Amino acid sequence: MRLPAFAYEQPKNLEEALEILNTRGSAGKILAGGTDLLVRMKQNSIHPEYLISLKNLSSLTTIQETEDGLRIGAGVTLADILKNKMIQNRWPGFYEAVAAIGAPSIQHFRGTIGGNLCQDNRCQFFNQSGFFKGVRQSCNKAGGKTCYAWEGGSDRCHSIFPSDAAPVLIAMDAHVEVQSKNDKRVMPLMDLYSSIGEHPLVLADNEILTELTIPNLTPNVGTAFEKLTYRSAIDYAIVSAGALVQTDGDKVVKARLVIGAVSRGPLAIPAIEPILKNNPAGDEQAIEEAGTIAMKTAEAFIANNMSQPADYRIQMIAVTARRAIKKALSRAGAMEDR
Amino acid sequence: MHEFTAIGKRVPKVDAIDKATGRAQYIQDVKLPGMLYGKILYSKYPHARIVKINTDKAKALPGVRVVLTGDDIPPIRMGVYKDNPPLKSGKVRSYRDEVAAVAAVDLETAKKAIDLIEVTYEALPAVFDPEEAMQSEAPLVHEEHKTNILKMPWKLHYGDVEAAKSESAFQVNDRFTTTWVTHCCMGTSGAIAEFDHSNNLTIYTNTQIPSLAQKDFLETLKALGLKEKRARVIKPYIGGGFGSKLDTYAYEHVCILLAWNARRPVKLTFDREEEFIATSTRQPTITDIAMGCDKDGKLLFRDITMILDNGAYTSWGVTTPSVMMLPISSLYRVPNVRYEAKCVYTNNTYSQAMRGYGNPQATFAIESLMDMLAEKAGIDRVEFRRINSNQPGDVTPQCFKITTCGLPECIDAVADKLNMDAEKEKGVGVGLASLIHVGGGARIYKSDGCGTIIKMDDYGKANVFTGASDMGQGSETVIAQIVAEQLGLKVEDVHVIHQDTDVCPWDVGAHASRTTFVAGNSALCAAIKIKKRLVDLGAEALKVDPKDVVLQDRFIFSKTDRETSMPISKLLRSSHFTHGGQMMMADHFYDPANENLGRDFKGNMSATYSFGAHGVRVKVDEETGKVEILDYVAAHDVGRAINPLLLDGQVYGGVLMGIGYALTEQVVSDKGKNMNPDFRDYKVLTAKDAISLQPVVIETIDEDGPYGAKGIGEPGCVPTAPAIANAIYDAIGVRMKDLPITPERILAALKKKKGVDSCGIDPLTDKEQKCD
Amino acid sequence: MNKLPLEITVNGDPYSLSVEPNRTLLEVLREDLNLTGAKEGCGEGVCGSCTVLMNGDPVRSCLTLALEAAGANIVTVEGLAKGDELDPLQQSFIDHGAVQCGFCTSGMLMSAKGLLQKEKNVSDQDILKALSGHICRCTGYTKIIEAVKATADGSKQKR
Repeated sequence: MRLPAFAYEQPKNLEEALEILNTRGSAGKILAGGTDLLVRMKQNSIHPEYLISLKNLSSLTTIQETEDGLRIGAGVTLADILKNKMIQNRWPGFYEAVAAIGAPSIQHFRGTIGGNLCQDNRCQFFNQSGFFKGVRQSCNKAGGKTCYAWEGGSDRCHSIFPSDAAPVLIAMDAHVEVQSKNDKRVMPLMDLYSSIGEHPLVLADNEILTELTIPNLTPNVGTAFEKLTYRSAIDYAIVSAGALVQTDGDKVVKARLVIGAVSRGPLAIPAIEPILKNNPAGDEQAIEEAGTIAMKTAEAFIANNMSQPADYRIQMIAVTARRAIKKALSRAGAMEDR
Repeated sequence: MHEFTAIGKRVPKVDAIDKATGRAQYIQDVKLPGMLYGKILYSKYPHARIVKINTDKAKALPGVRVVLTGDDIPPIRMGVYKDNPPLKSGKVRSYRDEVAAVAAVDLETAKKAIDLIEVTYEALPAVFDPEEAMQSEAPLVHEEHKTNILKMPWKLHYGDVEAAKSESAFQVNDRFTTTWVTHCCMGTSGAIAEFDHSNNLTIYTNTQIPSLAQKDFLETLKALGLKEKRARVIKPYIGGGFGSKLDTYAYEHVCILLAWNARRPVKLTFDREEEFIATSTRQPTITDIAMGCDKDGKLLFRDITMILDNGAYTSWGVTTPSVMMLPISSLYRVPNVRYEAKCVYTNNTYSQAMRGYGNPQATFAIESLMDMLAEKAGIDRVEFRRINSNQPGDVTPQCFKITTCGLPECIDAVADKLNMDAEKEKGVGVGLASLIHVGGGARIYKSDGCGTIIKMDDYGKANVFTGASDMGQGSETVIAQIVAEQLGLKVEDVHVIHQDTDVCPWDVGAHASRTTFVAGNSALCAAIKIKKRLVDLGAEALKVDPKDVVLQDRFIFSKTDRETSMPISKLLRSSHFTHGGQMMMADHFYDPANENLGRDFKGNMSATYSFGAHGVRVKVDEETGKVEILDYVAAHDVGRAINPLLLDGQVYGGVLMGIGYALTEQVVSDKGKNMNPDFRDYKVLTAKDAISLQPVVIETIDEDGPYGAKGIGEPGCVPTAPAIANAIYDAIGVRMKDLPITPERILAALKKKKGVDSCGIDPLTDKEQKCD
Repeated sequence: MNKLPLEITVNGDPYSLSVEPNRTLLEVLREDLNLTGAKEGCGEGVCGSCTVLMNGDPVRSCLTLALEAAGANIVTVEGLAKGDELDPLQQSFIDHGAVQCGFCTSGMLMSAKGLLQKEKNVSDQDILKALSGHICRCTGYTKIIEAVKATADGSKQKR
């Protein structure tokens, strides 16, 4: 499979990259690891005139510990994160989310954390070759006016938010830094996502994700990531869930849950907090209820956008949510033990 | 006992070194000077009239050399029913229909040209469900055929099933379904066609049937008016076969047509998406099955009706009922058998041969029902199988002559190794299933033969020209071992040549697990002829009795006096470079003494039969429906393990393919359109899904096999699905009747069992069914 | 499309090439350098047949622009053996029956090599992880895993 033609730009530093991005506007696309972008280009789903390589932007490839937590350059490879023992020990939920991405030799060495967070949405009707799509009218995401994933069609795109890294990071209150030629802004990771299937990121054409910051976790906080797949590797999630819980003694004092791979963006489920809060950590009934709430909240967003049947995916939201919460709870306890 | 020097040894595959160093050339790696690149345009509709094709823009594109449509080519018909032209004209019957083709100076130009071809279609009503297609008002896929039901004779009745039903103490019946799965050869398909100045064809192609493919290609030459011309088929290294290359495909004929029109070599290779949509699948089946036994557990009857979704055109898929009959009539002793199968045209993709050739689908139904019947009869399921096991000397109702039979030993080995009676945790279960398959060729064509030529050189090396095809399974290695053993050579002294129909003898093809048996016997017989001549010459040279002559370790010597010896190379030279000298060559055509099936489908199809039993321990996650394989035992009666290393390869590979068939793999079809034509969404198992497998080899030393060997290429994936389904039932008490057994189907079945308002997932619509 | 210069080292040999930006590393290796050991099995980074080492790390050459490999040290399957002496991994693949049709073999070898070069003590889990992005349809993976394990154990013993 050949790539369509494009011009290649290789800025030497961030300033130059931002300058080029500013000039090229929507005709330019950022090339980080390329593991998702190049597939989309081969499939004729996107046609950038310029690819702006981040290869030489060494400023984006550092992992830095600060007083408040961790700063990770957007260009840090997944493999580098997985090599980092500190991350493994102190942010286990994040670590396991990164480990769950794709398969080591596919994504980990070339794939970057910024690339994973900025991954475009997916759909079984969109992420196909031009040949496949040539049989039907273009869908909303491809610039047309229909949605094949929504029964009866829809005027908006019902694609899935696929990032494995984002749900648990959002649960942890991670922030991202975004830069353009004349501006720099920091926002909660959650705000990076528009929940609009056609263009799931809020980034302007001249903006680039530069850094991810993750706050320190106190010892009574547990984080976890759960991903349900058919196979043990390669697969995109059927459902994923990131969870964070904080305990005080035996009691839950804070609970966050973010569901991935179900909706057009990451789906925070704030309703679980009142259910779990002030209850004992081992309250099975509360966890059961939290899973059900997650399922009921997320259910409405399920579209026919992946090959697994909707009914199954809905049920799995509850199961995956519960498993993530339980694992986070046990880690909150485990950290307390230490 | 005689010590073997090559047989029974773990000899590495002879081409492994070329593959491990990147030297082996596959079709993708072959380039010819002046070569053009071909590309095919496929249909945009599952069923439509082709109103008009405008190729003007494509032809005008610089770099384009040839553009062809169905109207530009002579009448060529592929398939068992000759219903499939390589480029369609008039109408398309499935999304994979080839509508036009282009040859251009490079692939990019060819692709651009394809996009410039304008086709006007008029959509026709289509039919995707075989049961609907059988109704009289259904749209006709081939109007001239008058009905969508293929006129195939798949119907047999041995004994009296109705009488046996009334005599049965216990009976069960149910419906089982299987869907499309596909071979997923890692090397995608491709061909290069080239004509010489005298209009003879050379085609490099991935095929498992060089001799029959040659015949098909000659037909195409004839259609082009090239009556007396030659067709030479050359196989490069092939990146996996599994049955997919058992018929010629449209792309091969298109490649020839493009090359003929361009008078230049044309290369046409598939990308992965094309491989998924434009090569064929295993046949989907809907099986209604009933079985009964007497009060002691002896099987009395088996009654099966089956509907097969043939797709839009016929290939070998339509003949798979002939192999399904094998387990149906002859897996276990069943005195009364009835079977009827209907193959139905639909606007889906058409099916082909795939490892096991119908046997996995039939065995899934039979072995699932065996467990159900055992439970109903209150008999332990292992014991139930022992009671009914085939035995050596049996002649089955279909007149299959069971010579050697290691089935009882296989069942015992599984029960023992898997420790089936061990106490189980919640969600854990064990299951087993058996298999019978052809192990001594399969006479489905006029000949089941294979030819071998052996040419000895002057240096003690043998060139073996065989009709057998290697797609990665290791036939060249096994043949080299057999010849080396006979001639007292090292395996590396034997060079097996199998790539070229200009030099290799005829063979019906690499199918039916027949190569070790048939090509092995052929090589063995040719080697025996050489050996006899070497012995006679050696006896003369060493001045000893021919009876005392031994060939071993590249030497010829006397049994009575090892010092009286001579290198075989020297003996060869002395016979060659002498007045009246002779070339040391021999040939042999071996055609096993098996029989074509008669009109009643009786006949000893194979010279011997392979048996096996698989057992599996699974753990089912009752929340997610996911199945984990904890332990797997695969016991096979292989006659003799000529090469235990390669035998392992067939078993491990077959079993994992079978697990994919059981649990994860399916071509998702939305009104005839393949929705998952890629490895992300078509779930071939990954290295992380590899299982802990204990192979058990039962050697029964079959007297007709080369050194006693039987075929083992396909059996590994035959009983896998029912073994797993039986284990799932043992684990969580739900009977899974539709493949693949996906997590969502397990959850739906569990809900049904618990009385929640659901009746499982309908295998045809993939929707959860409410109970009526 | 303008060609851009590309300096690259492949199997120890330096090359000064000139390539269009849209060409992948796989295309340049196979078409320009005639190193056809790396295969295209899917073109989308899923099957692993195109894996080569880039500065010691296994990467999908079908999803790596050739220009992104500028200045890099690339090793393909053709660069594993030292003259006539096979790499221990190659020998182990051959001896363990890890090679059947052979189409996935070069990619498997390169990922395994990438792992063993870096990790001195590899666990079974490490091997499974390293091979998890590769599809093989012939072997059921077991023999490949055993081949890598045997090489890892063998090199441990040597030390």
